[in-house]
Amino acid sequence: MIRALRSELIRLRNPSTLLSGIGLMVFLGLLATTIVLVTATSGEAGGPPHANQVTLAMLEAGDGMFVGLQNFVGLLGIVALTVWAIAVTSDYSSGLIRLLVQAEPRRWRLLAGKVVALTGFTSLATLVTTAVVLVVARPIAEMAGVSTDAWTTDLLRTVVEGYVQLTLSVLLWGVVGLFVGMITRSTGIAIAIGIGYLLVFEGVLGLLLDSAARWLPGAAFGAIATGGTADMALGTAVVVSLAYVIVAFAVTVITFWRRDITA
Amino acid sequence: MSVIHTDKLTRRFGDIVAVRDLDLEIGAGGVVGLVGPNGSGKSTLIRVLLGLLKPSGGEATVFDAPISHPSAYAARIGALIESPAFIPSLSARTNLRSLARLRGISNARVDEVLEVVGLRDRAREPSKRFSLGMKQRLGIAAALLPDPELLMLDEPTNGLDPAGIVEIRDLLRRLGDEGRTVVVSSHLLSEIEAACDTLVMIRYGELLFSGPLRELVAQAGECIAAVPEHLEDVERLAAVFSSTGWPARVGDGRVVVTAPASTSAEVNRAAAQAGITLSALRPHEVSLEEVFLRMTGEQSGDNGRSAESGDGGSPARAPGSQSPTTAGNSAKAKVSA
Repeated sequence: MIRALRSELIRLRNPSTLLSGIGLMVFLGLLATTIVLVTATSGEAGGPPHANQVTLAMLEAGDGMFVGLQNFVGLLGIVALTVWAIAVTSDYSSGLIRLLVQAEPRRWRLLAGKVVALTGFTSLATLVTTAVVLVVARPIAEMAGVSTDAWTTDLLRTVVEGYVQLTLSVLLWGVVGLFVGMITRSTGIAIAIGIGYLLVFEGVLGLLLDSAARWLPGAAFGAIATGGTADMALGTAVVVSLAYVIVAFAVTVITFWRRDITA
Repeated sequence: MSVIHTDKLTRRFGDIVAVRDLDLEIGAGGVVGLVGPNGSGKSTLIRVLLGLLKPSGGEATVFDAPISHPSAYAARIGALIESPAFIPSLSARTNLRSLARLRGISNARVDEVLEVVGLRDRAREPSKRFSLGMKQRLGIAAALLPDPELLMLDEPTNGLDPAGIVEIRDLLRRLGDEGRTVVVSSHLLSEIEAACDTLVMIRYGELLFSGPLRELVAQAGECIAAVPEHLEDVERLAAVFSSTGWPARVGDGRVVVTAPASTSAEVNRAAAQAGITLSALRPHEVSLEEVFLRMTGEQSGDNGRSAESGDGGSPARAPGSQSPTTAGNSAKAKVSA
């Protein structure tokens, strides 16, 4: 598995992957933070439809600098979903999968190496995003008239907690990308299905079904990022997400293990 | 020692039988040519042996390990399957290093194989800038990475210029002479003829011939080439020979008759009796290409392939000619290079 990981890390060091993946996450993180801070000046604003409403009080709390990131975690999630999906589908579209499986026929090792490498990449991208937001959020907040007095209280704990929750949530989106990528083997279809489901279908289902917010994957991933919501406590969100992850990994492993390499 | 052994190996894709009841044995060392028309099952056979495709029936071993456990022999095999596959934005060296890491191979070996295929000076360039021929060389370099005992190359000279083809042919010969087993699939029969000691010929997934190349050519029988004085007599001359009982075929302004050289006088007499004057009559050395076309039915394998029956068209054999296919099918085919 270590060999597969090292091999995968070389491919992920591809400058275009690094720059586009991390760069896009940072850009979207800054965008979300700016929108939330700027639109919150009137008192109550920000946040995507049907998510937690962001109040000025929330932004002025100790973890206010991360509220934008947490409430728009789906944007970072889409980047992770895309990167994870491409990591799988590009092996098939390029034909590289032939060389990889021939060199390491124990396919679970290839998959494990890929997952660990992508987890590292995603954690790094989230870390950079969190760091940039941490630096930039204060001047934006001050310009927007949001008090940042409480932001320095227990800063280390706030940053670590915010980063871990955010990373966990983004990784879950990545697992969805891995799963859909393995099933479809097509980058375009995988991304369309992943984003279409999590952003559109689940949103529509949430409107039609009140209880959806308590068990659907997108809701659970979002609840982890924000440390729990009114509909789903953090513990529940972790358990629900874990169930989805186990099923997704099981289907992914079985599919990869059984599938003929015809690419 | 048997490197590859198959016993009634079969692989289906739905109704299509890509490899059918294939019995094959390839011994250690030498260069083995794997030939057949498009869609004959060459690539499928290689993929099944490498563990990329699961067989639908039968059994096979590589280095005495069953193909259901390819990890037992993966480290001893290098392969180039169809077109070479790399990450375009990464350099040649980085692409190979990624594969080397996966196999636990040192960076020094990466530079060695780049040297062997003549890409050392271009190692830092992204592979997307490479021509088809250079990509092909990089694919061969990837196959050579594990210093393999068995090398399986699917169309290795695809896209190479004539000088590159000669280089790769020499490389294959050298590897074979070193005691490695090199299995080469190619459409370029002249290349197979020049590089290979032995031949495996398949059509519609069935074995047509397996054995030494010279044996196959010998099985095709002795031939005589008769050139009529007037080109317009070629077709009539072929008809005369065929009516006399000699299989004949027309090509390049001459008629090639399957008959021993000792019958030259009779051939000449038959032509004269038909009022055709011959300007030349000489023994004809049958090329692999001619044998191939005769055995595979002189048609593209992409055409008319039957799903279940596997008889997508009988070989268009000249009347009375002997089919060398029986040699391949009657007994377990063994290739000892």
